Amino acid sequence: MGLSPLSITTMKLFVFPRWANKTRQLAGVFLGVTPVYLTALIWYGASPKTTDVGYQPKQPIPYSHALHAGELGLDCRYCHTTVEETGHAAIPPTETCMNCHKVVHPTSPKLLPIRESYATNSAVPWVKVHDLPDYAYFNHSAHVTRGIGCVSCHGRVDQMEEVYQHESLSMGWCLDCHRAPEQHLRPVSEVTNMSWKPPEDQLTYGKRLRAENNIAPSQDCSTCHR
Amino acid sequence: MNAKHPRPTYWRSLAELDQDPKFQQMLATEFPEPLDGREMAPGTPARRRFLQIMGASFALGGCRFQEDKLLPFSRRPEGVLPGEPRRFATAMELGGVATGLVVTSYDGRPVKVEGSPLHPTSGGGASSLHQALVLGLYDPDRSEGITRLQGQARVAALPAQFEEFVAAERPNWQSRGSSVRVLSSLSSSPSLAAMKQRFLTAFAGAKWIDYSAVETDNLEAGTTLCFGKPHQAVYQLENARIVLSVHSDVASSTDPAGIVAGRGLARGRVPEGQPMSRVYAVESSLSLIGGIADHRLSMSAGSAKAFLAALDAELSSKLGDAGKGAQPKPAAKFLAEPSIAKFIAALTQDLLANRGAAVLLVGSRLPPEVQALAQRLNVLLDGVGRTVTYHEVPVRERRKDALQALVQDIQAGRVETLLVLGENPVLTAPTDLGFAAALAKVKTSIALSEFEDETALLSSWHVPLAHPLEAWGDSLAHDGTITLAQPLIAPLFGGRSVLELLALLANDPKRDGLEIVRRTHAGSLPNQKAWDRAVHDGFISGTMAAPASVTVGVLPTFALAESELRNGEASNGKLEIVLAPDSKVYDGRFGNSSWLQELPEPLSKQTWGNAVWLSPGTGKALSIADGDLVKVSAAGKELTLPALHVPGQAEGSLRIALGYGRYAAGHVGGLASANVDPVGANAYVLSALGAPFLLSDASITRLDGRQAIASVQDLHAIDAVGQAGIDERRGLLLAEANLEEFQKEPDFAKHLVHHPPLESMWNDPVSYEGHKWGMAIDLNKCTGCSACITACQAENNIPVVGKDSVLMGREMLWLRVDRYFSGSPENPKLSFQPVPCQQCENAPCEQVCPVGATMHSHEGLNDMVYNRCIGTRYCSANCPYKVRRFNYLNFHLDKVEATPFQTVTNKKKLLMHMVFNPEVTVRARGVMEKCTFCVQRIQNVKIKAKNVKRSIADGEIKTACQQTCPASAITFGDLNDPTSLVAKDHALPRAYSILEELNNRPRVRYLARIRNPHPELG
Repeated sequence: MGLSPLSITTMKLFVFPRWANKTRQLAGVFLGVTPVYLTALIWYGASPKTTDVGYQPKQPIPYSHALHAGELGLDCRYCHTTVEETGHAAIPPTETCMNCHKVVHPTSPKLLPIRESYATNSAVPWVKVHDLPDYAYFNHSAHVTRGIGCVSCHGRVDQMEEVYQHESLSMGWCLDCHRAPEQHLRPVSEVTNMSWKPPEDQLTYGKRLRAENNIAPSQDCSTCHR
Repeated sequence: MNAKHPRPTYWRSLAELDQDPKFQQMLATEFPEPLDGREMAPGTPARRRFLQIMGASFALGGCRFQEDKLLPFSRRPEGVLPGEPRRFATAMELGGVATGLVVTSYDGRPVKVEGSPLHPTSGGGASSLHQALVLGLYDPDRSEGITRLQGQARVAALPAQFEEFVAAERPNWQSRGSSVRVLSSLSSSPSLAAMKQRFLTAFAGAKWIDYSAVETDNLEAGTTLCFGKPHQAVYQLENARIVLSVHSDVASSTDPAGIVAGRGLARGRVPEGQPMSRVYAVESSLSLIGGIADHRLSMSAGSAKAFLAALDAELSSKLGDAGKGAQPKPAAKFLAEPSIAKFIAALTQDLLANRGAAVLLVGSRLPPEVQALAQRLNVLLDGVGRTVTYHEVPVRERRKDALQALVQDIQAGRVETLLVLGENPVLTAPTDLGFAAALAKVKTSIALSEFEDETALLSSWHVPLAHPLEAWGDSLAHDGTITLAQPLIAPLFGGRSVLELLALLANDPKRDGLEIVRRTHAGSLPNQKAWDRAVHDGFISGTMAAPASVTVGVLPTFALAESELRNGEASNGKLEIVLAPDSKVYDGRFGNSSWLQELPEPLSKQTWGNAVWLSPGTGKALSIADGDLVKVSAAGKELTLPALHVPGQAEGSLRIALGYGRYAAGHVGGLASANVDPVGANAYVLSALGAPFLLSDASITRLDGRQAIASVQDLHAIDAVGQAGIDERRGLLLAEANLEEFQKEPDFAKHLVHHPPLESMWNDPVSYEGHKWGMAIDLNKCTGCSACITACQAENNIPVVGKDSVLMGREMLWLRVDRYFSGSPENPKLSFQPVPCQQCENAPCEQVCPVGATMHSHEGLNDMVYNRCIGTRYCSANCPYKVRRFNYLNFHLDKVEATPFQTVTNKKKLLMHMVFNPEVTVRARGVMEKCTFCVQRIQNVKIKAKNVKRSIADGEIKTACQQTCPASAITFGDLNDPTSLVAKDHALPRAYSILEELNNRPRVRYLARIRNPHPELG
């Protein structure tokens, strides 16, 4: 029993049309480019440099660091009092704001939430800008008491109208400094000085400070991950 | 490798000793399946859900996770540094005895309990029960408000409604005070005593009953018999050269003085440079002190009277005190058995040779006559002022009489109002009392309790009780020191303390707990400065009870019942039952604590439930196998539960732990209203008014069916090859010697294993300059109490996995306490060995991780990096110590319903978040974890020290297990500092590492166990 011959119309169903020959070349290009494109897309697209740098959430009060820390020249530690002692550079209590704003602009509508918080003893809901993953433990006091300036991680906050994230805060970025802290070391007295310039080449100066103060940042996992 | 010394054969369980099929199955599969072959699925893994949320969050908000809010204080209180832990002294009272504690609080949120190092009795130690306090605080099952009974239903009521009701009822109580009864927790609180007086004055004729679910009467009755007045005995075990324990639970968490006793015992067990104590134990069931003992005799509890009478007769005749109330030698046949006679002879000789340095401890369950005999002998052996002191305690009505009178009064209609303060008598009172039925007859019953428990459900009013960490209070420590309890947090559910409720009822002008406690101590703490000092320290210094001088009266000759003349018989109808408070749930009050439910019971290693303990011999005689479901009956009452063969259990004696089988504990311990089955079986149903905790003439019958006992004793077995290796090595894991052998060859432990010089194939990657962390564990001090396990769980956010997962070998506890037996199953010797991660310098786990998730630090820690781990479990397979634990499920995050993509809004779930230690990562599914040497504590101390450029003092860093250990068996510190305690311990001749021949170079060293046997008993 042989196979019955297929009609030409039926046969056509199984034959690629002529233009399909071109797709072979195109597919080669496509297969070559797509993985590179996707890798690059994810590499850069999902990198903290893309996703996190520049994050600037809307705050409940239009507080200007540029005005307070820049123009008026308040030291960072006037508000962030705990930075030298504890892990957190704590957000100041409303009381700190009211030290001045009882007399300065006491009726400004922009400051209404502050006065409200002070009167009702409730918290001002500030939005967190620098948010590390939950499995990473960062300690402010360990850095500022060794001579790492605020500006090294937070950028020129004294020029920011509204605070945004300046650095990626990724693990690679942390390790860059833990491997070679001399890039960022400065005298402990100058940590809050946003416009400090090294008296000589930063690397030479940093290396000297590193030797003098015995700065040996650890690169062990448990330094930050617990 | 060969062993030079003949070593005893050690075994972990009877199943292993007999190689029964259950154990074979455990061997074949490293992570066994449940016995009934069920597929495992507590909490269905929801991979799709994850993808859905992922997709949605990408679409909506890009890659940025949810917005976090920072909520600063409006006015920051002085001294508060956000995110910085603060520590406060407080106390917890259990069984009328206070333990001084220090609680660590983050931003107003208590997360960790420790013993208070300043406190004269706790001295820095705490038990598992104390450690689990924080979990209880954040228990979502705690009652949220006042409820009242309307018809058959319970309805919520506002505090104002309750207060109105009280105001309306008060005139009635004043005019008919004799119809008011108060059933209050047995307490030593001076404020409560003062409040009681106010209450009884306000409502003249009212009656007050001190209630305790566990035995407390016998010691007082015994001292009354012996000295004429009730006394509290305070033991100084560190001064004792000879300790005899007769059925005592000393060093256990159920003993109110357990922490002091554990410490005292450990201090006497140092074999270097000082004479070492010798401990004898006579007991019906294994106990912690039985584990320490150099000589242990299994003897049924009923025979204790005859045993002590024989000892009394023997000692009195030798001390020339025969005429003055000494017992005649009892005519008990068992005393003539060679093993017992030899034991008594050696003991007598030791006690006589160590007058002034000998002490007898007797379990609280034994009758007053036995207590009297023991105290008489303590005095006779010149122990007073040296190994024991006595102070007078107030005379109390005996529990049995008080309860009987109460129920009779209720039945006769003489009681209209009943207050139940912090107790659960519906569950815990003897069943023949008929308390539940009586309670229903009372017109107004007010139950003050943390949970809407069995008693609260039947009461006309239920008022939430403040948690010990939420209320002001005071109480006496074991030595009489007035100990203050301060709240760490405002009551989460509007709870009131016992003092506050009584103040409201009695219309006391002072309603606030703080004011009430201050008023009590106004005399001794006249000014703010003195008060502040006392609150800071947690106790009022110099208030230790003055030791009373005692004279022993002439004791009558005690009659011995027929059952007391025989030493247990494994025949039905003649068995004895010992009902004991549980070392985990105590009298049942901690039944809803999942940490405690999952904690392996120190001796049976059972988790999640209780079982009837019987000796293998009794099991064989009555054809009851391990795990068989049995019916235990005594005096017409019955209980069904699984049987557990326990080595060292006296023949014919059964032991059942109390506090299980609850139907209104909560979603963990059992909740009938939510169809949550009780954990374990309620042994209170066997308890009778006349014989509450020691029952005779009982029987046991096997039922059809078996019940899986979630025991961790055989977990982490490897396979047949591994088992052969284990058998070969076990004697080398536990280095033990007698004192005499030790003195001849102090470094015997180092010579147990002979191996060629150990050389590594590669150079050390790190030099260990700077710090080099190490730990030493003294097996001679360790009592096996397991407080370290719960401390580790609280510190390191270790999840609870549940009974099914424990049965599959998936328990997560980082620190385990291995328990080994040696010798015969009838009377074995016990050895405990806590096993944390050994932090090997040449670590097998590090070498096999394909993703670098476990890395070696420059200080010698095996760092575990959760965010790198992909869950291959190679490290666990390659770990010879089996200390790594794998998150098979999202144990924590599923329970609190947390994902990185959505904010939790459910209040109860948020409450459960609060117990997490913010210093430690909360791990998710698919991640390996293990002991880190409490790296968060190391880092925090290092940062603090470096900030001010100082060096770290020895002892400044304490791991959680070390800190809580009542016996101070664990030392931790820097091995590079030769003066540190741990370096000294490592340098001791009896220090050894386990599996050293594998060249892992572990950083944990054990100090060998030294036994001090009597030469005659060997």
